[in-house]
Amino acid sequence: MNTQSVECNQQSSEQPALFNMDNVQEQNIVQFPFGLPGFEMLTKFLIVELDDYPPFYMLQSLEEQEVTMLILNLKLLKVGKDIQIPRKEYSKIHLQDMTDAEVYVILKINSETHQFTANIRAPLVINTRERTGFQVILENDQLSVEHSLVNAFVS
Amino acid sequence: MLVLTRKSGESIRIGNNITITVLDNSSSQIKLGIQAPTDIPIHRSEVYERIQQENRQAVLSGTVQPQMLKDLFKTDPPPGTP
Repeated sequence: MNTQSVECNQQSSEQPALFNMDNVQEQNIVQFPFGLPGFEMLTKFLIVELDDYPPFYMLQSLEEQEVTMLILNLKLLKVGKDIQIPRKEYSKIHLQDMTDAEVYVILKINSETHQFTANIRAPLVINTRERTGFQVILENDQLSVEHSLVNAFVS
Repeated sequence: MLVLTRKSGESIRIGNNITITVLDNSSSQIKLGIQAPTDIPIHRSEVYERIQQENRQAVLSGTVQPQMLKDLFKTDPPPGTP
């Protein structure tokens, strides 16, 4: 795919590690057959719960480890109950229904204000049985790619 | 870029299993019908490009410190967070 070399599993020594690579297991690996928009060539990712920073998870490419994002389970957000994933989308990763699915949203951080937003227009749907995933782009343009996380969590 | 001229109701075929039909071009917009296997993602280009841009911006840079994750919940703690 690309010629860029990939460093081995070393976190930068200047920055505290968000998770310990030693704890990563096979069950944390999810295949994204279509890649992610912007990273179409990357198909193998880790999804790891950040035990020290609940309820965040880390999504990290195994092919280019610099490609690391924070994600959050959509059901933790109030808006989650309003978001339906169409069947024609989740069937792309062989889901019959959503009972074997987890849905996450990708977070973005404004490094100056430290404000977090979530991309609820394009959630990640994970087939937990087959460990495959897909980033759905929903038709509804009322769903923000920068949904504020202030007072956004279900109580 | 390959350029083809089509009338309303006519179609083009891409590969073995993708057909794009011009349904209506009577107004300033053109309506297209797309038949493709369900495992082929189809998006409006500007929407797809926006999501590409969002994903690239979501990649954590070295400026993101773990403390920022803790700070997020100072005002808005989710359930189960001390």
